[in-house]
Amino acid sequence: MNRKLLMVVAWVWVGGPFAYGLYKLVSKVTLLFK
Amino acid sequence: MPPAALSVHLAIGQAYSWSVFKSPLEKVLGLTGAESALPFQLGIVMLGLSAAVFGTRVERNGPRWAMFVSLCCFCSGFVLAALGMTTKQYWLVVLGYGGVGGIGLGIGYISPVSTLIKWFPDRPGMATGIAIMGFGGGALIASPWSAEMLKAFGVSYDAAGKVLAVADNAIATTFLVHGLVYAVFMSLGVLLVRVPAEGWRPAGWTPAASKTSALISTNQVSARNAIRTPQFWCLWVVLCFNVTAGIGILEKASPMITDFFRETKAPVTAATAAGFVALLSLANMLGRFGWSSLSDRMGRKNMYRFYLGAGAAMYLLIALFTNQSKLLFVVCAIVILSFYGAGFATIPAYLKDLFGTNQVGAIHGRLLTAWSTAGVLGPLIINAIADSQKAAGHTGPALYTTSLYIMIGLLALGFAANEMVRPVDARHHEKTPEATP
Repeated sequence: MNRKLLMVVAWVWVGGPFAYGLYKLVSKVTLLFK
Repeated sequence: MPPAALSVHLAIGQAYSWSVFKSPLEKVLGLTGAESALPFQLGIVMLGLSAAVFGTRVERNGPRWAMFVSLCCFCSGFVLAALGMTTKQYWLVVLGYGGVGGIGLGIGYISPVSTLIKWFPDRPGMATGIAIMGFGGGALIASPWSAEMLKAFGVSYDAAGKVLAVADNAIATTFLVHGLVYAVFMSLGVLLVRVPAEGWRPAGWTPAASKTSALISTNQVSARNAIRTPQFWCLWVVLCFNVTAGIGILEKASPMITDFFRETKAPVTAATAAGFVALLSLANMLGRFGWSSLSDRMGRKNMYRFYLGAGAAMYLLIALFTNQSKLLFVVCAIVILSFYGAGFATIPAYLKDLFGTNQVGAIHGRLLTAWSTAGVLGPLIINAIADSQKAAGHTGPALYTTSLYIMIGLLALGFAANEMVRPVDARHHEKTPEATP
């Protein structure tokens, strides 16, 4: 596989779930300031 | 290499979201809070023990082998736990998730460390910071994901988050899906991880250029010899007490902020306490990457002076100002938790500075027994003191003041241990061509 494409796939693989977790966390953090 | 390391650490970091399973387990099996915590506690103990026992083998067989073994153990731990729930045999859940899965945690935790340091010899703090930040991020992903899956498979909650009913096999199915999904997710690390070629260096970088302090050695010390040096045990104390102090807040974050401000004009609601806990998780995770990366410029010993010294000052501020300012309390707790995470992330680079890169993974594995010790010590101190103060009729900040001063004492001891770290004596160095001038 193309090296650049592999890098993109690998970062999306780990970055996707991480972004989901971060979004959920930040929405919880906002409760602190409501 | 960073995505490979992250795919393993983001998966095994799930361990810190075990609390999501506690209430449903208690409802189905009639367990107490202490009993439902057993799989997690055994998992953390096994993490330290397996990292210590298998560290040398991880170095010898390489990161691909280690990540594969970690995948097998961690995921089959979930499958065994699912089997335990289906047959209502709780011992199988404890043995599966805590015992077998815990071995996966330990081997997985150390699997990318020495490889990352070899790929980034110019920035080892940043490299290990990325991976170990992933461990913090694992709970951040698993917490909401596991909770939503439990709901989807038939666990219902009331408005306050109390479990109302658990459908047949809801927890077992959730465990099984976790095992399968994590197996696929971690396989990326197994497939992608690569050790750099012997003598590989970033363009324009030489080992001598990074030797900016007497504490940065270009010599190599074996894991067997490392544990015979006072430096290893000084760092063991540093890690143990830094983690103990952080867990002190992390363990009781939600009841702590509620109790502190209960008798004030603006008491803390359950939703606000949840937001506070989330904020601490964020600080813990960002501290791992941020402070550890900074250690490449500031030096490892200086950074631990900062973590331990400023950490003690933050605890002192909380103890002195108690519930006078919510903002001060929150800021101090954030800083303490960022140092807690940073302590984990910076230690592999500190070990690399002192003992060289050859067996840094194995040495790191042995040092993680400090984490297992702190995992028992921290909650024990803060829970025992809070319980005894409550029994004596105290309320509010008084429940925690003694614990706070104990934490300051432990951080001071850690600071002293860090001050005692000196370059490793030449008699412990391996006789390699690199070591002989």
